[in-house]
Amino acid sequence: MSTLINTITALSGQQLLALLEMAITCSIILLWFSELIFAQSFSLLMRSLLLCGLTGTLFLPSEYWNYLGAPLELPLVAYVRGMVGDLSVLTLFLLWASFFLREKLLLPLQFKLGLVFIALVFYPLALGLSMFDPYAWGYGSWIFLLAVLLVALIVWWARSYGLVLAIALALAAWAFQWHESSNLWDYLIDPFLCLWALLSLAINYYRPNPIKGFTDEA
Amino acid sequence: MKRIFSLTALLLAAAYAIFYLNGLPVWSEFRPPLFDVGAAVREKTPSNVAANLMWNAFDPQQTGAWVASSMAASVHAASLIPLSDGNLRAFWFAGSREGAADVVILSSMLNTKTGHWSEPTVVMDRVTAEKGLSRYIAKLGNPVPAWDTDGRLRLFFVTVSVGGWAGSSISTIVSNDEGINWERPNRLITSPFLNLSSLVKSSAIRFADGRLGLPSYHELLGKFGEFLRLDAHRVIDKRRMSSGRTSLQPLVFIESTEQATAFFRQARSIGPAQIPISMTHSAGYWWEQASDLLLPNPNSAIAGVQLPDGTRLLVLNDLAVGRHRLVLLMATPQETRYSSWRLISVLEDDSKLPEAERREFSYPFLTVTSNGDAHLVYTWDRKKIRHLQLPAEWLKNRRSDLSPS
Repeated sequence: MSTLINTITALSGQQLLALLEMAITCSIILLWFSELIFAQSFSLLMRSLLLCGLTGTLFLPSEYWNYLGAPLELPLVAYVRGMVGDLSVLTLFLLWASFFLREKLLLPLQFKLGLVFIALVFYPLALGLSMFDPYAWGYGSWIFLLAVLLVALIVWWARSYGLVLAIALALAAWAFQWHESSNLWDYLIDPFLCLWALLSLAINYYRPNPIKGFTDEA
Repeated sequence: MKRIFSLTALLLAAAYAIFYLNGLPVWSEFRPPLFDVGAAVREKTPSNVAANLMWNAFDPQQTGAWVASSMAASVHAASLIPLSDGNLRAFWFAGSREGAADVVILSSMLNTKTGHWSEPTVVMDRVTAEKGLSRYIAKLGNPVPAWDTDGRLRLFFVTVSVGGWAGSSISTIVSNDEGINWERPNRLITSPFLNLSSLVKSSAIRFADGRLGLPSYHELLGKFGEFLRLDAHRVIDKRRMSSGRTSLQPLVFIESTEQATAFFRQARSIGPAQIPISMTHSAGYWWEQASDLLLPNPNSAIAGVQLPDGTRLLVLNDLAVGRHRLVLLMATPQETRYSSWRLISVLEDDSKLPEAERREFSYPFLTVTSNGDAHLVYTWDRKKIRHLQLPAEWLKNRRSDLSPS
């Protein structure tokens, strides 16, 4: 226990929360895979218990793993964070909400299309295609902030209230510098969210009875 | 209900975001270099023939010392910073090989009065970095020191979690006692794609508001320079300095409060092996690519510094291929506006040796102390870090040789 306390107190608040976020996210994904493999949907109580157990395991200080003979230097979740960094607040919200609400969030098709379109334009430019870098907008552009607010209002008008809440949380997290990043883009999108949108569109397109949701009233 | 709740949440978040954005510092001018351009003119006429003869015969290698030798199988990427007491502190990385898990960032201090380098101490190792950053780190590299806004010594360094150097990110630590003890590291977030591929090699510059501008570079898909504006360990803006797959490791020379020139290590697969150039006329806010500087560059790092009288020095491998020759070049502002770079000294040269026996002299880093002496460190055959002191008097003597009579 003292090892656990020492590990937690050694972390700064921001690092602790970032690791906790990643641990919960990894646990949710692992639980989804187990439900898929066992073809069984766990009850909310069972989900919560398993989530706590998995999150705790991922968060376990490396010293515990060392006792078991595993030569780890960090909690398991820190290895995942080393690979993927911090996920956007929008991704976290959508992932966690769909897990805890136990309902498929029927996000607007336009949202997924928009996300894929933004990713196709944004990432090549941000990675050096030309002298134009839209990622720089995210550090402190009034025009970019107004554009995000405008998109959020359009989404609200389209009655996707869950998505509006997600954008609001992302904006608030950026304003409070919740993550290490100071860039608004990093709170709104990440490559995994864009990849999910692309795969989701592909699945919807090829499925015999695609879900054509335009609202997420859930 | 959901309609009202979501709109209220959005408006509240928008208010916080506007408040945050309003509080961000605006872009600042460069802190202008303190030139004494008249000094160069005044010193044109030799005042002491004996002294001139002495400096004519001076070889910078006479001042040479090993900063680090036999410390590790591989050492690389040394950098320097003058301390408040006039001494110098050097940083470099060392390990069994470049990119190995046992690579650590070391530091040593030069007592400029005695010329003695202290025993190296470990500033950062991989495990300390990963525990501090709360994420897996596979390797460390490229330490670059700078004086921060609050007068503390800050060290930027590169960390990699996955893959090669193209997967790098920049982290930073800060010291309250000029490099003896260091605080916990922080990560700079500079890229939207898993924060991959940001590296640092050259000195930071200072804005008029005291904040640092850090020239960095990207080498994942493209190879280009980026200029980071920092507030302590946070990136508050980023501007692109070049694009494509042509240029790495920007080295910035400030000309005025608005103007600066960046020299790059060229990284072209096709095209001239010369130094790419970018210029800014807006204190680093916008950069435009200019014609190459017609100096050869074999895709190797260059170092530069501006002396108090405005004279610029460059140290580089003046070859199209290889890193077996290292030279010192000089350009003055008075006659040619830095357009003409003249060879001042050949610092290392293995050109006459068979190719298999040639050693590598690379990754130079220059700094200048308050008395006008320039100090150079560079990788000597990956085995040692070499330090050369270039005395102010000798540099003045060399500059007067360049000036038309």
